[in-house]
Amino acid sequence: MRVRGILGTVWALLAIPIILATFIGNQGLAGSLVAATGVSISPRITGAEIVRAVDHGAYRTFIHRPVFDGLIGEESSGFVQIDWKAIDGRLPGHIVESIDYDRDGADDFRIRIDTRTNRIQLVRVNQRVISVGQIYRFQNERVVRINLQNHQ
Amino acid sequence: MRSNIEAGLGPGLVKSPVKALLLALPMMLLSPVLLSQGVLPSASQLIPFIITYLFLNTIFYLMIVTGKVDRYRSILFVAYAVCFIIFFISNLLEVRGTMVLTAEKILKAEAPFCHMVIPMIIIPAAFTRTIIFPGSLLEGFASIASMFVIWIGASLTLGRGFCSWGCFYGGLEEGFSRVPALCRWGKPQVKLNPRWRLFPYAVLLTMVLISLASLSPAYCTWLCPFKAVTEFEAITSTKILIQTIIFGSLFIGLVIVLPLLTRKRTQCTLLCPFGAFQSFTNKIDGFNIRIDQERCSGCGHCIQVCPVLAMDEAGLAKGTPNLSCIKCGKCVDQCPRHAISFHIKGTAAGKKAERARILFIYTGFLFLSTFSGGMIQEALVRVFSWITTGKLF
Repeated sequence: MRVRGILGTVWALLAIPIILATFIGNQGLAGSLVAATGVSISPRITGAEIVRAVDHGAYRTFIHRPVFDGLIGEESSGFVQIDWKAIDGRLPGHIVESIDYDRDGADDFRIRIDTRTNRIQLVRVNQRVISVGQIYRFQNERVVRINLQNHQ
Repeated sequence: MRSNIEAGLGPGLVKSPVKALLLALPMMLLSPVLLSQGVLPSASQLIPFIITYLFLNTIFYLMIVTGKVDRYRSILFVAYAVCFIIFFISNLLEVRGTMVLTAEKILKAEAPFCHMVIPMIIIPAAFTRTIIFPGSLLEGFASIASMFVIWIGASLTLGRGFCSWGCFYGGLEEGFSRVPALCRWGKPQVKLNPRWRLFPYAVLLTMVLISLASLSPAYCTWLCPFKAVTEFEAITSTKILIQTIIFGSLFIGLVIVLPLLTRKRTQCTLLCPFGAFQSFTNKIDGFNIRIDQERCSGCGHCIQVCPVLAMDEAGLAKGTPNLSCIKCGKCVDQCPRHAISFHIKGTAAGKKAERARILFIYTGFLFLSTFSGGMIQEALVRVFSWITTGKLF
């Protein structure tokens, strides 16, 4: 009982330095936490990292890594995110582009975007391409997620 | 020399104002450093800084000299919640021009992180090493890692005491739950069945499982009532309309109406999955609440006043409240026989209660004042700006 009492008192006394460290050392501890755990924001939110950029002069196309990430391993379906960003000024009224998302040298789908109405037409070439998923309309930028079937 | 308890004064009352001042002195010296973060306040921040400093230290001194922990904690806690909302909303309006959380902010992972989502993201993070919340890991206001560090610090030192010494939402319903007593409205209109305190554990389990299955923060998306006073998605689909109706109804019901009718913190008691999750951390911090069974008359007043149904007959028999205890100190303040006290785990019950209380006040208040001080100050800057220039920022 006496040992437990001493340990309890020490732990209770340590609370104050722990709180001080929590706030004063917050930035350093936060950085260490991220470095130690190696976590990142879910690719389902961010669309995963950009693997290729194509320059079209007035705008640039960014192709992200296809996302099939599940809780354990990969899921049977996912998406690939494509961003179109104006380099200087506004996006053209129409964007027509063929995309090779899996980088096998063959186009996987052809997409046509009316940037004024936000209408999208998708022509599937690869059978793993399913449909147009979420569409985001930002200033001088369009982001489209194309739903995919996983090949595994 | 008789102790305070023997003298019938309660375990925390420091009779001498000079002794109380000496006990408060370390906090008086420490708080300006923590409040200013080591940087001298600018001219526009000086008056809010002084007001915040005086407010915090007056509250702390009164806690020590009167022995009424909950009474003064509650004033600061409610002020903190109000100032948080002023600060947060005005900040959103300044940066974004709206309280609406845009798709762009979600996609670019720029949403401020909130502790409520922690139970939903831990298991997915362990499996996938990714965070299923659209916030920034390290940069910007309320980054994920920064809030995680604060949560770990709070859990180690206060356990579920975070809910009454740290949560910037808790003060809202605490404020509403205290209105009837302040206005002398008589007895509570509605009594909650004590079994309802188990419901948040069911919500927690459900939300964790849904978040695992969907790899998205289900509670934030569907239930969190505090979106009403922070940020929410623009209604662009039927799904978002339903979500808006749900969180709006929960806010009105659980944060305003039921606290007024029951005098309990009903969102914390009946819904909050973070609170349920945080209950388990009551096992790791150094403090708890103990009931001196020799002094307890079994009147049940503590059961009536407990804001989260943590005190029950079984707890009285056992000498300690159940796992849901938020260490607010209301039962300690209000026990007519001073039978309830803050306690350092491992030490003999009823012994050195005054020392345990001072140590707990220091721990809780240091956390609350450091976490809230900056927000109170910023809110005052905004309010002064609004009064003098007609603009919040």
